[in-house]
This record gives sequence, C-alpha cells and structure tokens, in this order.
Amino acid sequence: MHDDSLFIFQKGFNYSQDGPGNRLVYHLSGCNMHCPWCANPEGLSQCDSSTKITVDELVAEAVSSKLIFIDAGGVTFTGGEASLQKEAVLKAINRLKAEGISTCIETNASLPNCEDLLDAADYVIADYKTPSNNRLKEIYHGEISTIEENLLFRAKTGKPLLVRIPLVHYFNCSEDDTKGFLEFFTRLRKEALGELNFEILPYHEFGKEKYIKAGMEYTVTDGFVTDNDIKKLASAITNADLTLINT
Amino acid sequence: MYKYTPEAATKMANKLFKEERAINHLEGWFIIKEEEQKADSKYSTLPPMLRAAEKFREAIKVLPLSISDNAIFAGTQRDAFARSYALINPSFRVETFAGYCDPTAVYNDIDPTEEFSAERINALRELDKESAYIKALSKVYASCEKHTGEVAYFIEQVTGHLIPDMRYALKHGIKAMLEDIGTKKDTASDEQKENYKAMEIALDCVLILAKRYKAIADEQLKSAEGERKEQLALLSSTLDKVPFNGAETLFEAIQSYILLWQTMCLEQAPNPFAFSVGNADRIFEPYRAADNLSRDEAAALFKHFLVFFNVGDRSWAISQNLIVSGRDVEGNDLTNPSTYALLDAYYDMNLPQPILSVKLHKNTPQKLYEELGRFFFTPGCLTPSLFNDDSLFKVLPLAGIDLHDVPDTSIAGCQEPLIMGKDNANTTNSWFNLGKILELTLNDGLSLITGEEIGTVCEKTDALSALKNIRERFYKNAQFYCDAMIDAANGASTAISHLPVPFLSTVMGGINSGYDVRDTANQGTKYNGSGCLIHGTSVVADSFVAIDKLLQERPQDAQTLLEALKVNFEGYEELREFLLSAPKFGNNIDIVDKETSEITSRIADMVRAKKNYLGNNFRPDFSTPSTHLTYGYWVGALPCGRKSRDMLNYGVDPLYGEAQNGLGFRTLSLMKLPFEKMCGGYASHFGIDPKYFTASDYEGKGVEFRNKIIEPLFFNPLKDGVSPFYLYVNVTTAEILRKVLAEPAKYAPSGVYIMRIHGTFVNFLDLSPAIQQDIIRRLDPASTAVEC
Repeated sequence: MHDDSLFIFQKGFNYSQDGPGNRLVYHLSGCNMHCPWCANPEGLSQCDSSTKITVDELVAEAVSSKLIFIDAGGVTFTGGEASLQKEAVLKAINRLKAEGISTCIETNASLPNCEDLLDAADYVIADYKTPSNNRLKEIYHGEISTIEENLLFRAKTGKPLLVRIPLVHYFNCSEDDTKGFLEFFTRLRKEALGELNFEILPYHEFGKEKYIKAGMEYTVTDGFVTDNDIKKLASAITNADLTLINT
Repeated sequence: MYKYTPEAATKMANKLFKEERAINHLEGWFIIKEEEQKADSKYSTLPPMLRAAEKFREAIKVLPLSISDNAIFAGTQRDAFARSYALINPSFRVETFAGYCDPTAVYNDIDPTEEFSAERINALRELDKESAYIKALSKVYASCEKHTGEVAYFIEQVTGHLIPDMRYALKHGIKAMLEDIGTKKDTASDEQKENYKAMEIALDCVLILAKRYKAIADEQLKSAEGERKEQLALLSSTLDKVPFNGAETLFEAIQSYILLWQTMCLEQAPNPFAFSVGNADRIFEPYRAADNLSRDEAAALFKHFLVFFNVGDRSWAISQNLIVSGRDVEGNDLTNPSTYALLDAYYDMNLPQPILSVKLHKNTPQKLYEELGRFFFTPGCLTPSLFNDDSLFKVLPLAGIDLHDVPDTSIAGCQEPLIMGKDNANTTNSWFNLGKILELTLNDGLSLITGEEIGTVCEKTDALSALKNIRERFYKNAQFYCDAMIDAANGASTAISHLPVPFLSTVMGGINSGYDVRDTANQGTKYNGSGCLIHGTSVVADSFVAIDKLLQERPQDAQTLLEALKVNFEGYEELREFLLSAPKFGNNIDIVDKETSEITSRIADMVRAKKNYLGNNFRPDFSTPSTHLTYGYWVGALPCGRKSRDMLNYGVDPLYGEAQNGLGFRTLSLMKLPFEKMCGGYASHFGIDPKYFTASDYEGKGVEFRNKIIEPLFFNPLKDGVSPFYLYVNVTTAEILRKVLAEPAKYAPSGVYIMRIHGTFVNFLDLSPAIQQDIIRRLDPASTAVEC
C-alpha cells in the first residue's frame, strides 16, 4: 500500500453518528473481519471499484469543506477497516490536524501495532463485538486480546473513546455475553483517563439489499433483537456506572 | 352560546372537504364576469376604480350562495376559480404548454351545459376580448411573440400573488375602515376622493356577503333541529357582528377572515392564484388567547379554516400560502400556541391546500422541530417549505425594506418573500431563460429547435472565437433580451391596471395612500416592485466550464461542438461524454461553483437594475415553478452535455443527475451562491431518503432533520455573509412513489398522497403524469445521500 494514497468505496457527510458534529466520512476499502450483518459489504475487499484518493486530494477536499464542519465536526475514517490503510490514514490525520480539522477513526480495533493511529485521532470509535473468543473466530481469525489491548491503550491516552456494541441476537445477546461485556467494560473504565462512552447498535438490515444486488448470500436469519434485549444490556451498562450514549 | 367540541368540528371538517372534492364544475367566476359585463354600460361614465367597484357590487348582490350542513363558517372562494391550473390538469403536456398568458383561455375551462351553453360562454368571451385590458395585453404579447414563442423570456400580467394584511379589519371591523376612509377624504385630492369612494363600495361588498349568508343561516335555522340549530344560531349572530365590527373570539375572527378573503378573491375572478395569508399564527393568536381555547379546540376551528382554501375536485386554488413561526427584529422567537394548533390542524387534515411554510431562525425552539418531524416522516403527508428568517432579515433590508417591517415577511405563492399588507411585487411578471439565450448565442440567433431566427446582438465569428468569447457574447445577448423582457413585462402590468382592485387595495395600504394597488402612476402600496424568475443558472455555468475544458484539451474540436449541438449530439457521443466529464455544479468543485455564483450575481444585477412601471426595481427570483420542464422543452442541446428539450436545472439547484457526491458537497456548492442578491426569492429542493433518519419517533427525527439538513444549510456559524434561506423537501424514494402510482388504493387509501412540486404541495395523484415523473426524477438521491 502506497502511504500517500487511500482506497475508498464511498464518501459523504453525516451528523453525529460518525463522531462529533457534522463530519466528512471516508469509507476505506477492505476489512479483516467478515461480519455477516455488515451494512457495507461493498467495502469488505479492496477491488477495482475502489477509488484512489491521494492524501493531498483528501486534505484539499476537507479544507474546502470546513464550512460545514459545524458542532465540532471534521473528518472521519471508517470502513471497511480504516486501520488496514494505517500509514496513509496516519499521514492524512496529521495533515488534517495541521489544518485545524478534527479527526476521527471508526475501527474494529483488531490489528496489532496500531498504537500510533489510535493515539493520533482526536476521536476514536471502536467496536467491541463480542467478549467471546470463540464467537470472534466466526468473523475473524485473530485474538480478542488484541482488541482489548488496543481499547485499553486508547483509554489510557486520556483521549475520547466511544465503544460500540453491534447487538445481534444469535451472536452476542446471551446472559454470558452481557456478563462478558460488563467484565471488560468495567476494566476499561478503571484504566481510562479520559472520556469513555458506550453505545448499543441494535441489529438492522440496511446492508441486506446490497448483498442481494451484489449476488452475495445474506446469511443472517436470527439477527433482530427485542426492545427487552436492548434494555437488558443498557441497564447492565448504566448500572455499572458506565456512560451509555445514543448518537 | 354554542361551543363546538373538537371531535364534532373535526368530523364536520372532514365531511366538508369530501363535499368540496365532489364538485367537478366551477362557474361562479363566469357569473361574476357576466354580471359585471351586464353592469358595464350603467357605470361607463365613472372613473375606472369607481366603475370596477360598482360593477363588482352588482355581481356580489346576485352571486348564488349557500351554506353546507357541514359548514361551521359561511363563505367559499370557489366562485373565484376555474378548473385551470395546468399542472394538476391530467391533460397537461409539457409539449403543448403555452403559459398562462391568454386571459380568455379560461373560457375553455367550462364544459358547456344547458345552463352555461356554448353560445353563452362564447358571447362573454367575445365581449371580454373587446375590453381595454385584453386589447392592451394582446398588443403586448404580439409585440414580443418572436421572443416568447420559444421562451427566450416570458411575461405575464400578475393577479393574486399578494399578502393582504387583514389584522386591522379583524380587530376593528369594516366599520373602522369606513371611518378611516371618511377621515382621509378630508385631505384627499379629487382623484383620491374618487378612489376612496370606490373603496367604500368595495368594503360594502363584504358586508353584503355577510348579510346574504346570515339570511341563508336564518332560513336554515327555521327548519334545523338539535345541535345544528344551535350551530346556525351561532353562525347567524356571528355574521351579524363580523366583519362589520371587530372580532373578539377565534370563531368570529376566522369567520371574518373568510369573508374578507372571499371578497378579495372574487374581485379578481377568475384565478387569482397565490394570494397568501401571512403569519396565520400571529394573526389568530390574540383571539385564541382571549377565548382561552385549548390547542385541540383551536385546531378544530383551524381545520375548517384550512378546508376553506380547497376548491373543487382538485383543490384548484393553488399556491395560497400560510406561514407560521419566525422571529422579531431582536431575534426573539414568535412561535405561539396557535402555531402548534395550526400544525395539528394541518397534520390531521392533510389537505392539498393551502400550502404551509415555516420560518426558522437560530433561536427556533427544539419543540418546533420535534413537532415538524411528523410532517417530514409520515409517508404521503404534506411538508412545509422552510425559510431562514435570519437571512430574510439581511436580504430584505438590502432591498429597501424597513427593518421594522421584516417580521411581517410572508410568502406570496411559492417562495417569494413579501411584506404582509405593504408590498405589491408583481412576482411572476417576467421569466428569463438563460438556457435559451446561451443556445441562441452559440447558434447565431437561430433556434436549434425550429431553425427560426430569434435573434442575437453578437457579430458572426468563427467557432473558436465564439467559444473563447462565450461569456462576453452570452452576457451581451442576455442584456438585449433582458431589456426587451422588461419592456414587455411593464406593458403587461400596465394592461392589468385596466382592472382596478379597490377591495384588495383596502387591505394593502390603499386607505393610507388613496390609490389602487395596480395604479401605474401613483404607488398604492408602501413597497412595489416587479418580479423576474431566472432560469438555467447552473446549466449555463456547467456549459461555460465544459467549453473551457474543450478549448484547453481539444481546441481543434470547437467547430465540431457547434455541429454536435445542432444534431443533439447524435453521432457525437464521444464528444458528449467528454463534455459530461467536465466539472458540474453541486459537487463542491470550486471552478464551476464560482462560475455559477458569477452568473447568478451578474444576471441578478442585470435584472435588479431594471425599473418597472412605477420606477421601482425588478426583483431577481431564482425559482422555476415547473418551468424548468416547460422552458427546457424549448432549449436545444447545450455544451454541458444536456440534450435538446431536456429539463433545465430546478431553481438554484444542480441539474438533475449532476451532483453525485451527496448532501454535504451539494450544500457546500449551494452556499457559495450570492443569496443576498436574491431579494425576489429562489427555489431549492432536496429529495431525501427517510432511511438516513434513525430516531425511534417523529420528534427525534424532527431534531435529526434539524441537525443533518437545516443547521448546516441555514444556521452555519462558519458561513460569512447571507446563508441560504429557502428549502423544500420530499422525504421519500422513487421506489415508494412508483408503488403509490401503481397501487393508489393500497398506498393512499384516502385518495390523497401529498407531495411538493415546487413552492406548492399537491395531491400527487391529482398531478399530470409529466409532473409525477418530474417529481420522481428530481428526487435525485445521489445528490442528497447521507453517509451511514
């Protein structure tokens, strides 16, 4: 990967759901996880349809968009998995910061040796999809300990961290899952030196149509969670004195 | 005294609307014109304004009136309208649309019956053709036919399109207005005295209506039973009191308003489109408060008020606008309990008319956004158009409006900001087609559509020089057509001054000035101007930038481009692809965004510099109320790659399909435009996919709407200068609309599925197929995509 360019499959603006304020969001191509409920299956691999954008072009675009970075908005790198293009993202983040533009990454936090990236972004949104190593194996051939170490690292920097739980009925909705989530979240809170928030993202099927259009099989049949499922996890989080937010 | 329960009043309002929609013939306007014609010789020696008032009074005396069993108020504006408005006429075709310029075309809108025979209709039409008004207007149209035939520009005489200020009449009654006239007469000139006499007669017309309606109520009372008897007694006593006296309750205020409105519209029959109410919440709140009515009770009465604006089977009285909320001079919010009661009435009734607008500002309470959420996110529900009041407080003073008048800014018709009761802006007086002018500039004045010579003031030259100097040549021609357009437009305004409007004048400052609203020698209203709707800014900008790209990369193809345009790119597909690949407005690309801004600015200045019949400036208005389609039909292929007869860009928006990078980039492009120069208004539309709004309820979605759409566009603290001040949205997808068209019984069981087409909203199912397809195409989802 050339560290002066990024490969993206989509870009555009969103408010508050990809970091604070109004943000220009770049979806980076390629992902090391393969979650069957992914809303952006077109970003799972880096392919011919990816668009190459140089760091210079990206920074110029962001600078020309400053006008609508309202409410402390800025640029967000998401995926796919942003950390797979770490060098270029890091370069872009540093350049954007020099321009006074807020930066954010959304990541699954699974790649090792990402400390520099996790430290550089003004805001980090990281998924914690399951506390179970076995479950994790279904979507990723890596260790949960790496994810946890990355989250702990970010928390210890004292910079803002939002941890998101994509709540999927068959995948991470059991009593044991809740217990496992709380165990790690409590530890994270203890270690965190700055703002730490949690958010539950209930399963949806926004990506289903894209799978069908792309001729891919959509395999999830038991994803939807009930209001009660959400409430249970939400109560567990807030009862543990952790901050739950809704972006 | 009888008091309606919200439930009973609502039930009656629904039935009343159903009754109205069952009416498939409208002849009241014809009776009025016929009666006025009959009285013509009797009053032929009187000065024009007085003659108009006397003739109008004769018509009011005999116009058939009735009160429905489901009506809680007396009055209808049905008799002021014909079944004319093209876009909701199923027979409308873009190909054959000829504008609204022939005032005798309305006689075609009555299907002859035994009572209204073809002979009777033709007789009146022929007499009408001999009137001073029609003769003068026909002369104007004949003089500019060469230019208007393929719409280099268009002109029209403006009826309606004003915002009366009824507040004084509601509060103090006609009695006080007559007393005021009496006082003014003491110091008036002879001409003013004659005019005041005309105004007195015109005011008498509304009193005659009240008396005639009271007589009907009294007659019905004789045989009425139970609750209806009490209702009719209330109606009778109310009509005894208002509008002659001031209103004290909300019921009386609405009744008074309805009769005033009815008289105002009848005076301009047929088809005074786009009269508008103004800030209805502020007009009625004092009466609601005095009455101590709850939100539900007030909403129930407002439901009948809203039904009143719907005429006949397709709600033909289109573009009558009602606005709520807004701010005062200091920036304080003026939302009040009547704002919310009106919103409830709108939401519950979901009627095709009147149009709803909302003025927003940086201090608009979150509650208002929460309450608006249901409008945007209920499929098939009407949606308000949105105005940035903070920007209006900057734009209008720059155009000469006193700051203390700006809180009374309302919308006349679609999006034109006018001051209630003080501003005669002749809003739709002229229409400027930049696309056609570019076509004529590139083709030595010859039409690419018909081959006809329409005209250019540029010297013939070789292709390369023509393209290199395209800007200079375009603006030269634009100035030529602008001058010709203004002359013709002023001619149309002079023509319509043959039809004075003494009643309207009494609620537009005429009692103060002593002159008619339409007087061309003396200004009857505090503010006066004439409008010019400017079409095609972004297709011209896209074309200039595409020409630049061609000259830079393949100058040898200059002549080829001109040949390709002549044959609508047939056989020149590669060249067209090249032109389409040039930067387009709407994607936050500076070079083309700045070009669009430059064109907008220069044409605005060109139009603004022109004077109307009273020596007041024209007002640049960048809106294209479906004329992006009808005028686009007369524009040949353009260098941006747009094909012959395709639509032009809508309002100030990018051409459909050219903004591909989503809402944020489109917003950024839009914000580079010189809104401070758009004192006549402008149009912009976002078609938004509801999936981008994820809150669990309407209130939450309303706040999301504020955060994602409104705040960045309207109230952006980082924006220097004047921010955008108008937007309408359709929150839906093409897929949903196609389903509604395919299975209306399933998706719109009430028969009503409201959509916006430009400044107005309409029943989607009432629209002509061409306009239905335009709505679907212009949803243009790629231009408004939000990341998620």
